[in-house]
Amino acid sequence: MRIFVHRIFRPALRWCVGLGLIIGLSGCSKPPDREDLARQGLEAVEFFDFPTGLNKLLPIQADWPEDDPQWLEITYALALSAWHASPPRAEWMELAESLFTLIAEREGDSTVGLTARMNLARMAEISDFPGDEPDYETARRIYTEIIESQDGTDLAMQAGLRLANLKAFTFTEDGARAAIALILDQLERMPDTEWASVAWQYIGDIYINFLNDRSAALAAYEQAYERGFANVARTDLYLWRMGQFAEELDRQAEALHWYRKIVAEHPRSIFGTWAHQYMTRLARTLEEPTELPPPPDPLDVL
Amino acid sequence: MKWNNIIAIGILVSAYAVSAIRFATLQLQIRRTAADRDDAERVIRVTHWQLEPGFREAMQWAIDEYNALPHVQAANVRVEQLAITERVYNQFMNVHLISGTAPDIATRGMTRLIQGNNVARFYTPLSEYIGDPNPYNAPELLSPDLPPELAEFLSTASWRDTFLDGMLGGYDRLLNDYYAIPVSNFGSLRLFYNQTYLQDVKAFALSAVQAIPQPDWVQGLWLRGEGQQATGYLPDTPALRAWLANDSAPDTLGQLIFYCEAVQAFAREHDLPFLVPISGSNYDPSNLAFLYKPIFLSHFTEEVKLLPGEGLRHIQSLAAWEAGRWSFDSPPYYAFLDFAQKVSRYFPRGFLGLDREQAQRRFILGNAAIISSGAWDASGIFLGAAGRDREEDRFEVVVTRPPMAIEGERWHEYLPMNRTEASFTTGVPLAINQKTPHFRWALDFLKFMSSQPINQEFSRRANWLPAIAGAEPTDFMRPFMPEPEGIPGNLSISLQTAGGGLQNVYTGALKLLMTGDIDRQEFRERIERFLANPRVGMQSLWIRDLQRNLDASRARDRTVSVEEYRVLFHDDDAARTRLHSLFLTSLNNDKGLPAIWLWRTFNGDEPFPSFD
Repeated sequence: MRIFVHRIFRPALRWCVGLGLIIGLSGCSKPPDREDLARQGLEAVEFFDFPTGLNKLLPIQADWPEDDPQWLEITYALALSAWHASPPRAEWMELAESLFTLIAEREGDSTVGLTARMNLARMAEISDFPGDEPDYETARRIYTEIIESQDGTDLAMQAGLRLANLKAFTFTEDGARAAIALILDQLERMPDTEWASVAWQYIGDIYINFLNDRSAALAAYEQAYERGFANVARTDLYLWRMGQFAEELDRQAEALHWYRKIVAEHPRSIFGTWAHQYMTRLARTLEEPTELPPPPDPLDVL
Repeated sequence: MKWNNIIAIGILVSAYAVSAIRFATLQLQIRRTAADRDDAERVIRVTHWQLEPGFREAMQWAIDEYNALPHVQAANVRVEQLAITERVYNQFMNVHLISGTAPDIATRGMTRLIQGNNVARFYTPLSEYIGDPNPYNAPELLSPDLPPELAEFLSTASWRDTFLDGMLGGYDRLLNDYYAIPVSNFGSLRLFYNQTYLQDVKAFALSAVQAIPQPDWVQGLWLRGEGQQATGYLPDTPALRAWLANDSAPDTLGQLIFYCEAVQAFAREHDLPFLVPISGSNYDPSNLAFLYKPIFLSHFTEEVKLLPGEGLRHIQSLAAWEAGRWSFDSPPYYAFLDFAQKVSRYFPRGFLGLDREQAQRRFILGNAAIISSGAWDASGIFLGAAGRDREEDRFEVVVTRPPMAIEGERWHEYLPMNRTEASFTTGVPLAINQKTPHFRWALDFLKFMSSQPINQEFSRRANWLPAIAGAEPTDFMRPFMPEPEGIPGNLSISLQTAGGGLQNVYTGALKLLMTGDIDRQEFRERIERFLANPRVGMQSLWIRDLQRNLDASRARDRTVSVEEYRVLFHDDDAARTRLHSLFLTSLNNDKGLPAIWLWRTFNGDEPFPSFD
């Protein structure tokens, strides 16, 4: 027994502890330099890993030379990390706010500077943790400033849409109409903006969700359709909605037109069978015979 | 020190030593391979939980084919498979993804931790790789019997477009990106019939129908009366008698009910105490009531004020119920409960105590005439039925879509059509671990797996459905291919998805109703009692829904921010396009809008519920 303890067990234990130490120490390499931390932090933000972004970028951002070309990206990424790290904390929000403010002041009316301001407005608009009261006034003020100072730009349109959202969110008829008027005004100033489809689709949604005006909603959706719906994956759902609205408004030919689009262009639509049935029924009511597409085949990739 | 203590410590020390050595070896291996030395073997590990018969063998075949490719061998790359039971897949992936030691490729899903934005933390977004053609679909590699037009398409179209669903099975709606490459297709739920019983029972039933007078069990099946006073299920028609004269599976729901009654009478007549019509169990796909439920309960769109194009959420169903716009006694609901009670009498006694395997075994052993399940169980069922020890016990299996009630049959007004399967998505989505040192090879292997010729052979060997256009399934898997005809599946009242306590109370009450332990009134009272409870009932459900919407809105903000970041600093055009769609979704769902809007639709200016 004693022999076992002295000659076998203790040496074995020493050997294991030694081995463990060697392995443990081998895992310790030299601390990463600031370039490594910057790379890891930026990569983390791209992959939605905001806590890692915060951990990697926070120690290096303050000392990073402001005239270095990477300063802006590192600061912006750190601000995003502080804003979005979960669970949200008041001190991180304050850090994010101060960094976005710094970027906005330094970058002025550049796209990055204005996006930082949009983020400040958004931070004011939403509640991030219990007790964080939304500050709609600040949000409205920033959105309005961007609309006025950046007239005719995509960022003005984004600010306009956010401001319209705040107006509609009052759940009053006046609020909804003011939201629509604001977006229409923006569209008039920049009819060819790449955000036009989003704007028209949102106008349609406000008409239907807040004012229950199917005719006006249909007209707005038609504008969005012409430009291509922003959410391509939901195109068939909107086409079905448009067909249904057109039928309710007694515009049979128009309804048939939208149903036909579902059948012919969206073979994987869950409304395919109904659209085909409704289309066939409506076609019988037309004076002029019309050629109809066959029932959709979702397995036909060609 | 006592001997047993020494032995115990000895075991502990040995275990420590072994794990320390193993850890050191792995570390060394990881470092060596991470450095991508030319002479180091690169091992790509693929993990999944598909343990159904044939799947692992088929996957291994594809892996062996890939490992044998000259350029793979030249690069000293080797793919390995690691199949893990779904019981521990969640824990396995959570631990390894967080510790950075997860396999290079893994089936996405089955974990509640790695979801939402977290998917992007652990798996690689694939949008930028799926726009080009799949090199393994080069014309000389494709199956020679493909129509020229399809062959041309497969070799020139983007990798994404070669998938039967446009790769939607790998798409993440929240993150607006593709995070996995699906390699199979789960197919749809179908009814499996024992062909031997179809012949014998129908012959038995035909003689019963032709008898004068007809036996009681037949007379009880003829439909009399209407609505909630109706008895019986179908009329005695020449079409029914013609169907009884052949050996095909039921074409209508009335015939299915007739067939189930006939199986019970056949079992009584031939003293087969274990034979039941349907092999039901606690596995939902084997419960026929759940199969028909979404169709019965899709007749409330007016009552719930559903906008065209929208899917019905459980809270919307409940808001309409709370406003008195429908009840559990409304005709479609009444009809569904009636159907559920009826059909559960065809299940084995104590079916809630049986699991998926037991239900399958009962069918294979010839103790059930029907079983319902999906394509993933087809291989096991077909092989089991054909592989019985005694030749006289073997039987063929007939597969059909669940039949609907035709005019003149009970429940016809509630069951006009099946649910459409047009929007099916491909399955077994294989995602690439963000920490893999061999991303390029992992992606290459997935291209190989999802090429037309390999996917076809893989699917045939696994007896699963293919994910790629032009990859033909085996003949007996064809019935599982998606059928586009049908009603949308997202219009149904579904309290099973409500989560929390309601889900348990509802499902429990429904199952007790089906087993005959409670009646309809008790079923209704149990649910209504729960919903009236101020702590867990409607008030809590409203608050939960608002919080869920707020959380989703917050998660969307994170995605918007990252897309903006990519546009600003990486000039990413794809991110710019995705931003439009995300922005619109954000506007329409901001600050809990769907919950608030719904509340106002049914309750006007009343304040939103709160625990204060």
